[in-house]
Amino acid sequence: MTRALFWKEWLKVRAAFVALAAAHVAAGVWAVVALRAAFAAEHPESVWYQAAVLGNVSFDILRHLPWAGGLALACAQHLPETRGKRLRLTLHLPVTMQRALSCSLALGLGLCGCLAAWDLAVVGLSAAARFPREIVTAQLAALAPWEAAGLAAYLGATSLLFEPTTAGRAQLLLVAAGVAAVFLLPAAPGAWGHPGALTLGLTLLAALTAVPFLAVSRQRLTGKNQ
Amino acid sequence: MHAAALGRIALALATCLVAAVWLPLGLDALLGLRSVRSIALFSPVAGQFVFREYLTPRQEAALPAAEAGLAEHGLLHRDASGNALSRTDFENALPFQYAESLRVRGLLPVTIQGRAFDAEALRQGRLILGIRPADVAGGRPDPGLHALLDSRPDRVTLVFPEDRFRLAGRLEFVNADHNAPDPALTEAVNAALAAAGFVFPATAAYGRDTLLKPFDAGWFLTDAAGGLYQLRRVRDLPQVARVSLPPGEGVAHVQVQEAAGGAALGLMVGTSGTVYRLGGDLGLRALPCRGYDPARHWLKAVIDPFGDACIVDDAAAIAAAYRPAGGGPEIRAARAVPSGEPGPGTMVSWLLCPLRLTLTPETSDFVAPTLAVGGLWSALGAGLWAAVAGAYAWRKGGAAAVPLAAACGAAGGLGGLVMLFWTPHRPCASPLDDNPVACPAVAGAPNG
Repeated sequence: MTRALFWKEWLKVRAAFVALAAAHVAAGVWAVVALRAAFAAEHPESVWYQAAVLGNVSFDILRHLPWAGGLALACAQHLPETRGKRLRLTLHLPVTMQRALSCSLALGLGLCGCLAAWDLAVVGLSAAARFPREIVTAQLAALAPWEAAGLAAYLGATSLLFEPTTAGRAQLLLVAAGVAAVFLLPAAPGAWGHPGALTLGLTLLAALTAVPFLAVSRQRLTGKNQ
Repeated sequence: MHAAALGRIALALATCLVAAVWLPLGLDALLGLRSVRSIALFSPVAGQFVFREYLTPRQEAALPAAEAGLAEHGLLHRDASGNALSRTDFENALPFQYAESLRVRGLLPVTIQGRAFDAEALRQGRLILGIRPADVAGGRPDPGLHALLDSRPDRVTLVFPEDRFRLAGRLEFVNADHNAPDPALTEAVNAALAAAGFVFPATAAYGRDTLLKPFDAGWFLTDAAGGLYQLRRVRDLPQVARVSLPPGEGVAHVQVQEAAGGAALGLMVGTSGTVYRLGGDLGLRALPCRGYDPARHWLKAVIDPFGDACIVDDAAAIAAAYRPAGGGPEIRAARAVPSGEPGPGTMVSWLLCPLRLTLTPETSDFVAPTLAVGGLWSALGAGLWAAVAGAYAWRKGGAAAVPLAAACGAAGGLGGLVMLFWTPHRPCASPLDDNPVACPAVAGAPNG
């Protein structure tokens, strides 16, 4: 049954995921080309200075792609359920709602994670060919919170789509946007290396992961989409 | 606990955190709250400290008529006794800092304590060095790679070398052209350090990694024995010099700041808390900086031919001390920062948002979430919003709904009240227990 649930979710999102994967591949190529262009335009030591001291990165394009992708993936996955009032069909399956929703979230988060892993791999490998390990680490540390914003956007949009009331949707919109804005805060590469920042980021993501279960529960209790 | 109940607590937590981060920033902008640091400088003309302070619009409106005319867009100048000065008097009292203003007013050459100074002499006599809390170790991300510039005496401009070094016990140079270690340079530099008595491993490197400076002072390295060494590169050859530390003194921080003319290379903070001026000859001269906390205070050392001034300040207060070069008693002054004093806007802000979570505090270049509370007004705000949220929850969801709503109101303030949308209606007995069987399926009711 679990495999079937995953398969159902995959069927819903595969077109959106392929489109997002293509966008991330294009962004990765852009980042690699931008890095090569930086080294072609200036002496390597100048590019090292800009990367190590000024915190310049060649993958600015990846600042907004993850959170936009998270939104798109959540919409592709959950809009059909909520607009078509198909959630009630899931209730007739021989699994608990929690398990069904867990499978759904796991697939969505997994796909977001795959896209994030691709971004990190492209940035890390392209940087490793040109930069020493300190700069590679700093660049990955600059990208990580942007990818976390993607997870936050996915989880926030998922909760928002399942929430049955307008007031609740307004709150979830504010909370999700507030969390994503925390991750997108302009900061030097490596600035998220502070223990307090890591704790706050993980707490926010963990909290957002639990919220869709509440939203779905409220759908059931209010009699909507059933 | 049901997943939905866990979700409700998680949403409350996320709401309070987001409210504590963003709502205070919005209120600051809405209420025009901003704290601007004061400036203190010692006037060798007046023989006392003079201050530039920022007043909030409310404070500016409350000025007496005699002082109101001297305030410019909230900026007011005062002497150490608190008397207001005009901008012209303030600038004329500080010839080393405002030499150009004195020149255009036709006041040069100026005679200070019997010595005449023209524009060039004033410019050469001025030295300002400073340390921010974020400059001190642990206050900012360490790039881990440093450029050892070539200080060729026959070249005016500075250029970056093809290599950077890292501290890996010994110094290790990495070539940027090949992205690979440079064993020859690494060996030469480490040998030069060892020959000067450097005890490996190197524990810290202090320098100024930029070309935008008049000359290069190199890097100051601390060794395993607590010694401080200056490493420079001249015509691609390493030069090492040991800095002679006062007996019993260790190195807490070195702020390299090459001053024009080469008279000073920066500041050194000792483990005893003493701040030293690091001279071009590597000599250390203690400055009158008492009560300096590197983790909290901005430090400014203003040095002229007549003495050394040391100013430490934070958002709430500024303290300054001046030690005459010719000996004599130190002159001290301290003032509160006017815009740092709590006013009605601050109180309203704390009342509406009892908790403030600052993501990027002034004292750090890290994203370092820092929680702050506003004393009595925070306590009043927390109590008020907890009562409002608790009363609403009790009315709509019964006693079991009160704790979570009250906690959210207390921690999130006005922002936490949005959790009231999620307060369950009777007969859903507990906000932490979602049993759909117990709740009536009334379409449109904000249940759950």
